[in-house]
Amino acid sequence: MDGSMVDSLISVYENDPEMAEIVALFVAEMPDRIAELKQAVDDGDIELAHTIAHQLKGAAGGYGFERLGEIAAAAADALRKLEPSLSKTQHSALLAATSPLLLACGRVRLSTAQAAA
Amino acid sequence: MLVVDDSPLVHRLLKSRLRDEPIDLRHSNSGKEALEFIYTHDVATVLLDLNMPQTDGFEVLRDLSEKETTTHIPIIVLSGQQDSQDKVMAFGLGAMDYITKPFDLAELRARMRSALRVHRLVRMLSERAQLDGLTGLWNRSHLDDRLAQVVSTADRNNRPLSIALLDLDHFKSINDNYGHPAGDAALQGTAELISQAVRSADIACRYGGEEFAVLMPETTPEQAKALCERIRESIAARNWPSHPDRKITVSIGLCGAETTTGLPPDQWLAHADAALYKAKEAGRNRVMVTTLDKDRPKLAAAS
Repeated sequence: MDGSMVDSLISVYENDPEMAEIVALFVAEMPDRIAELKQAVDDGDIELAHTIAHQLKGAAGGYGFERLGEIAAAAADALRKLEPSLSKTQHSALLAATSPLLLACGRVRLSTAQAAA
Repeated sequence: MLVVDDSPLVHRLLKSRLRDEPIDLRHSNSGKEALEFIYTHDVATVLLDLNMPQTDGFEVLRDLSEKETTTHIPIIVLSGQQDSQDKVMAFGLGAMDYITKPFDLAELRARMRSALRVHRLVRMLSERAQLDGLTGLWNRSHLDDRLAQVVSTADRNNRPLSIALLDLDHFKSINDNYGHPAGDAALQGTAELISQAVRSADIACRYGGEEFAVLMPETTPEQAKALCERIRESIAARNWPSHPDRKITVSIGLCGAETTTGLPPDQWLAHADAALYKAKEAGRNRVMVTTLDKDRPKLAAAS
């Protein structure tokens, strides 16, 4: 963790016994989700990028990652405004729309206490 | 309860959040999948995401509210915090309640319980409206609904079906000699004996006056005859407190088929009624059977 916990996004439900297990799963699946989103950006697949952002928008808050949900909502909004057929200028817009979300996804973690337990 | 949301993350979340609730939680990933599920299952409450690709929540709402069988299912819509216009529109289309994402657990449970309560009450009221007040059996209106259903199911699947009409013999003389309370007791006692004899898939109704009907899906005429004989014997054997010296008997007209007949529901009733008439003509206290098949001529409709 390199002492970078200040930058981490931590779930407020992490210590809720009802939630601990699925929060851990949510965090564990994050690298796959990031890879999928990166791939969608590389392929210019706006629809897939939008689906990923949309699903995070609806769910992240429920898992206790409220900030991530807000960032995903902004990304989903920005992606919806893009034309489905991608031009060169659109590709940079796609990057711009998704990069805050990619960064935020990269900051999702379990707290150290939980990780050590 | 059915959760409709395009995000698997939401399904997993709700499953975990509601695991201690006494409900059977099911999931659909799209509006289309949800509609198919709802039309083929008994769903008590739907938790519906409005914002889905393809068939969205609004279309699901519209579809469910237009159909008589689903219009009373309570629907709680899931919406984002800012989408107040969506909520207004959802209520306009028949939603009962909404909850905003991210869910507050206590709020989610409270709204869900209230929706399930509404569902129970609506079901109770609609069942009451289909029950006969005196005997507690189904009433004529319920019989008409179910008759059409069982006839079409039997025809479609090429399955056996039998239908019986039962009429108390000389009922008027019970009323005349012992008074109307004795007549009511005779109807109630008969209904009780019919209820005891039929199986859980059978549908027993008070058809009107002193006449009863029993629909017996998946039952051949031969099996139905045995069941009707048991009913007839149990009624004939019963002692009646208000007239210990006077027994009551019943005549039964039965029609049934082992396979598809292609006959419409009213023809089934007409055949059962004709058999009942024969039972009366032949001296009452008996069961007469008509076996139906495709070549059976049509009868004039029962009056």
